This record gives sequence, C-alpha cells and structure tokens, in this order.
Amino acid sequence: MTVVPALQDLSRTAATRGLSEPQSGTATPQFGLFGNSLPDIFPASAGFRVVDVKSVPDSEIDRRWDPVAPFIEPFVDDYVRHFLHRLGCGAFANFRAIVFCREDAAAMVAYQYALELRRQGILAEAEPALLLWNLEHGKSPDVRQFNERQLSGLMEQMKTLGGTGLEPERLAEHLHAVSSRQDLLRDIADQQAGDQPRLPASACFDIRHAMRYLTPDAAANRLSEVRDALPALPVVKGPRIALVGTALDDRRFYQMLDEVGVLVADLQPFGAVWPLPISEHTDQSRVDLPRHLLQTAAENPLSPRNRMPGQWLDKVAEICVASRCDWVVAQMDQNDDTFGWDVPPLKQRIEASGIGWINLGFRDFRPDNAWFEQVKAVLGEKMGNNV
Amino acid sequence: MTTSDNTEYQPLATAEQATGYQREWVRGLREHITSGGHYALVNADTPHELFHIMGMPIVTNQWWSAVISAKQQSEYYFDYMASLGFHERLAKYSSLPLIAQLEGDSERQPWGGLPRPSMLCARQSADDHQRIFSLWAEQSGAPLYLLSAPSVPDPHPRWWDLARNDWETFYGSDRLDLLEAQLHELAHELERLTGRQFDSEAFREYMEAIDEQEMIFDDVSDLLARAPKAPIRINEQIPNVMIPQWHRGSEWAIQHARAFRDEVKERIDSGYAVCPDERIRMMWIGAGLWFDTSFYAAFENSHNAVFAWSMYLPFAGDGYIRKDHGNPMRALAARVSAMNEQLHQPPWVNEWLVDQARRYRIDVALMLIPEHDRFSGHGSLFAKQALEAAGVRVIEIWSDMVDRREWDREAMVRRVSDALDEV
Repeated sequence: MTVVPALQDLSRTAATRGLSEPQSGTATPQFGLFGNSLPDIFPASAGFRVVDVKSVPDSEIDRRWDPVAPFIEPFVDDYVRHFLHRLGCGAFANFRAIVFCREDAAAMVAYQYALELRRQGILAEAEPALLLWNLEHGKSPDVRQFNERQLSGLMEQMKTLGGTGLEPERLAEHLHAVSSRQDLLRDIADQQAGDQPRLPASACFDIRHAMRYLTPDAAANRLSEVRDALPALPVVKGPRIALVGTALDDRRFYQMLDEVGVLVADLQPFGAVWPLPISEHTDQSRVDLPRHLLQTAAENPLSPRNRMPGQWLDKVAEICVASRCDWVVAQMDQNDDTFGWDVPPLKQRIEASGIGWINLGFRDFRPDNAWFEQVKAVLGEKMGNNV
Repeated sequence: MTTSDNTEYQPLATAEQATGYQREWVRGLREHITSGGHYALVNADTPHELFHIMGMPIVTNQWWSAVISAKQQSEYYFDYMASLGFHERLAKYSSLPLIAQLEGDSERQPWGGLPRPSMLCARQSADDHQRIFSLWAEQSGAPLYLLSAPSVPDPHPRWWDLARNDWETFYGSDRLDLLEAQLHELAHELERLTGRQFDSEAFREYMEAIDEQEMIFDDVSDLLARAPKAPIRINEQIPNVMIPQWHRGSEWAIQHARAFRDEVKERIDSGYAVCPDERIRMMWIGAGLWFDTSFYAAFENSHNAVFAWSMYLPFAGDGYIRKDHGNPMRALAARVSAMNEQLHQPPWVNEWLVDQARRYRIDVALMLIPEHDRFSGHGSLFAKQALEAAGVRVIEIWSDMVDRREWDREAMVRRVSDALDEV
C-alpha cells in the first residue's frame, strides 16, 4: 500500500489539532479562530499563527471547568460547551487572541458567554483577548464600508496584541501562499470529485482539518506532496457520497463512510467550505487587495448567513451535482435549530437532480460505537451494498 | 376569577378598551388584506415604524403565531410541520405562521388564511428566522427584505442607562451607519410599493410621538414598581401595552397609554390590590404563555402570590425611547439594532432583570425557557444565577410560548405551589 508521508503528517496534525506541529523559531504568537468567516490571510499577514479553536481534539473532550457549568443551558451548542470548559482550564492560555465570527451561531454564543464570565470575574484571566468579527454579507456599498471598518478595527486590535496591522506588502506576500493552498485544495477536490477518486474519506477529513492548524506555506507544501502522490494511490470505489449538515469534527464518522462508499464532497462547516475562496485572478496591481478579499468573503454563497434566499441551497445542490455523487448524507447535532430548516428544500433539490438522499437525523457530539454500527448498516442497506 | 379575599377581580376598563380597539382594527385589517390590499409580513424586531409611516399595514409574525395558537390550531400545525420533514426541535413560536401557510388549508386558518404579502421583512438576529422567512419568500413569491444584525462587540451591561440617549456610544457608529442605510433603502422600497413619498418631517413627528407614548409607559412602570401592592394583573397589563405598541405613535395609542396610566394611578390611590393580603411578588420572565394566560392568576388565592411584572411594560421605556439627536432614522436604527438581543443575551438580560426585580421588589421569578428556541433561551442561566444572587428565587419553566403539547398545567401549578410554600 502506498504510504504518503504528507498524508500521515496531515493526519497527525488533524488528530492533535495542530499540537504536533513544531512552533516556528521565534514562537509565532497564536491567534485562535472560532468560525469560518475571517479570511485567515489577515491575521497571518499580521504575524500570527492562525489556529482553529472550535474543533475539539479527542484529548480534550473530557476537560471540565466546574465554574462554567451553572451557566450552560442543555441546549447550548456542544462546540460552545467544550470551548468554554477548555477556556476555563487554560487550553488557550498561550494564545494572544481568539476571534469569534458572528457568522457562526456557536461562535456568537461562545463570545458572549466568555465575555460575561470574564466580566463577572469567574474567568479570572485577562488573556487571551476576545475579539468579534462582524463580517456582513452582501454587495451593497454600505455592507462594503461596514466590513472595511471591521477589518480596520480588527487589524488595529492586532497591532495592540503584537501584530503588525494591515500592511499591503505583507498581505501580498501571504497571498501567494494562500493562493497556492487554495489551488492545491481545488486540484485535490477536483480529483476526488472526478472519475477516479483516490482518497478515503478519513484522508479528506485529515486534509481539511489540518488546514486549520497549519500556516498557508506549510499547508501548501504538504498539499503539493499529496496532489503529486495521488496518481499512485488506488482508486477508491463505492457509492459516491456528499456530506451535509451541522459542524462535524469526528474522524470516526469519516472512517465509517470509508466502509460504505467514497466521499466526493464535504459541505458541512468543517468541510470544504473553509478556507474561504479567494479569486483566482487576483491581480495585486489592479485591485485593492483587502477590499477584494473582504468582498469575496461577503459574497460567499456557502455562508450560512448569505442574504440571498435560496442561494446557499442552490450552491450546495450545484456542488453535489458537479461531484456526480450518488447520495447526499445529512446529519445534525442534537441541538440543531437551523439546518433542519434546510432539510426539506435541500432534499427536494437533491432528489430532483436524481441523487439519493439519506438523513441520519440527530447524532451525539461523539457518538458511541453502537451508533456508528447502526448508521453503517442503514447506509449500507440504502446504498445497496451490504457492509 | 376571584381575588385572594374572594371578591371578584375588577378588570381594567382600559384592558377591555384596548382589546375592543384591537378587535375593530383587526377587522379592518382583515377586510383590507382579504380584499387584496397591500400588507407586509414582518418579524417583531423589525422597524414597524417605517411601515406605519408609509401606510403599509403589517401583520407581525409573532402576533399571528399567537392568534393561531389561541385558535387551538398549533398542535395540528406542528404535526404537519413534522410531516413536511421539519424536525421537532425547530423553533415553534416564530415558525407557526409559516407552517400554516405551507399547509395551505385556508378554512383552518384564522381569517381564512393570509394572502400573499407585498413584502416580507426580518432581521438577521437569529439564523433560523432568516431561513423561516426565506422559505416564506420562496413559497409566496413575495420579496424578502433582510436587515443586517451585526453584534455589539463590547456590550455595556446596564444597556438601559445608555440606550435612551447615548445610543451612538452604546450600539456603535459602524452598526448604526449600516442599519440606517438599510432603513433608508427599506423606506425607498416602501415608496415603490405604496406609491407614497417618505415624508421626513412627518416621520420626525411620528418618532417624537412614539417617545411620548413610551415615556407614559415608563411612568406606568414606575407607578407599578412603587405601588405597595400590585393593583393589576399582568394579563391585563400585557394588552394595555402590547396593543398600543402595535399602533405606537398613533393618536389612539398615546391617548390609551394615558388612560391606562390614569386608571393604574387611580387604583393605587384607592388602595386596590389584586391580593389585599399580598405576600409574594412574582415576575414572569419571557414571552407570554399565550395558550394559558389564566395561569398568571393561579396562585393568588392559594398563596397571596401575584405576578407584578412582565417584560412588556418596562421594556416599552428602556427598549423604545431613543432621543433623536436630530436624526430620527438613526434613532430608529438604534431602537431596532439590538431590540431582541437586549432581552436575551448576557450581560444585558441578566443585568436588566436584576434591576427590574429590585425595582419591583420581586420575591420569585418564573422563567420561561423555550428549549427549542435557542435565541430566546440563551442567557437564561446567567439570568437565573444573577437573580438568585440578588435574593430572588427562580423557578424554571421549560416550555414553548405556543406549543402546549407538553404543558401540564396541573403539574406546573403544583410545582410552583411547592416552591411558594417555602417562601
């Protein structure tokens, strides 16, 4: 069996949520990201190492900080719950800041609750700084102006935290690495959605998650190796699957998918919806780069707060069709109150395209093995292969 | 229903007047809508003022939800919702009208159902509301106007201290610039739909009239807070506030607010009390329990316990009064920009409720926590902790405002009674 060292690296990075990565020689300050709507090029160009803080490493699942428990309602998103416990236990003590993306409903609650716990003195430490990223969606001049002010404010805050602020030259330098990362991810995704997918679902998970803990340069290096190794890997066979639903960061789910089919599109919030797209033809000499990057983020059709009715649904359906998937598999966390509204119309669009639809319903944050066995059997039966 | 000394409770004349006015108005609205007149379907936290000033009647989503619920149709529609593939943990209060529309049997709906609105309007305060309204737009073909709802990055805890006057500081200029621009855009859209021109001077006067009305309600809240004993029930307080709020700034609404204030003052001056032997003062936290409003009087006889507070009256002053500083549209943006959030997010919700509990000398709080309406439920435990720290006993009621399927009144009365026994 072909071993791809880069894939092994990425798997390790994903599993440890970046803790396996060696820090840079000068201990680059860490900048936590909760949510998807801040283009990571901005904090990266300001001198920070951007690290996702929403996803929960298995080693931290059981961390508990008793003082926060009385304030967390049972219906609070599990990512919020785990984040607050981890925050109280000092998991982010060496972060300079954490930015919470308003676009992510869980991020909003995490931000508000963390701020309040700090205000009440329950969370005693003053660090990391807790920042809010209020990116608005749309094309109007008012939205554009608002977003530019948000960026300006955020970059000034980064300066006070030891970063460099918004410097066009540094942004342009980082654009190359970010573009390379995007191009390579697209190449890999196109290969996966093509006639001969060669990555198991678990490897797709590893790649996507590792991106959230690597600098764009480091990511591009590993992705380049993965892309170059793809032709030598065996073709993965089986029903072609697209994954939708609420945020899912459990590798065992993907391992389960490996036993029933091949993942050709991952459209849940930890999947291919991040990093945010940037224009392929960004000519730095002709565009205002920050404005351009912001506008691309603001018009992202896959944003959950996209203001064009139906656009998100249309885009997801379009990707599923383009990926030539046989089945769309939907799943939701126990406290879902949003994706459930998308289920019937998305199902309708998917089935109208001739693609099968399987809704697994609610799942625990970390389901037990019995659940996976049961789901595997359901998928196998519906997809017509016995597993 | 009798009061605790077995005399009949004297209903407020103004409560009956308000409901009578609303009945007539609803009749007129119904005639207008069912004969093809323009109307907009809007969420509660949207700038109704613009629709009013432009003469575009509105049906408020949450009001319509309460109407459907009062017609005892909510259970049927929630079953239908499930049959469409919408799971049972989605918010009910804000979606009941949509489900009724999707079900489509006009005979079942109040008024024979709502025809296609000329416009739908919602804020992006909660992600599910955006989806509910998007589905409605798709079903009806009506255009959807979505207002942005960026969050306040540094929420001042005592929001009511700043919101009336120094709202620029409190809500932030960036947010207000964005929302003010969107309100102007909405006004242009309403010009197009109604054929009328937006009159800035008339709007300024109208906003002043609203502030006048809300200051009257502010006075009423102050009267009730300082009254030795609660002189009115909250299920009469609510229509006396909410109905004028739906018509805020109108001549009728201001006159009614004055009449309500005068009647309350008269009651206080005469020494009238809901419970002459009042022993326990309670607050109802959350939206109304629309399918069982008689619950509010359930403990008067048994415990001399009266509900002295519900959010609608005190929120009239704190949530609505906004000095215009020469820019009434911006003042409207300030009113709307965090309208719902102030009632549901920490630190705002907990600080405000404690302040209110102190003003009203509350002993016990019943807190409605809708498990499947997270936007309304978040922050509840911060509020609970804060109230308990302030010496208020808190009883959590995990129920939905319109879904009575799991509401067991007897069990709830027993539960609350047991808690009141210990006070």
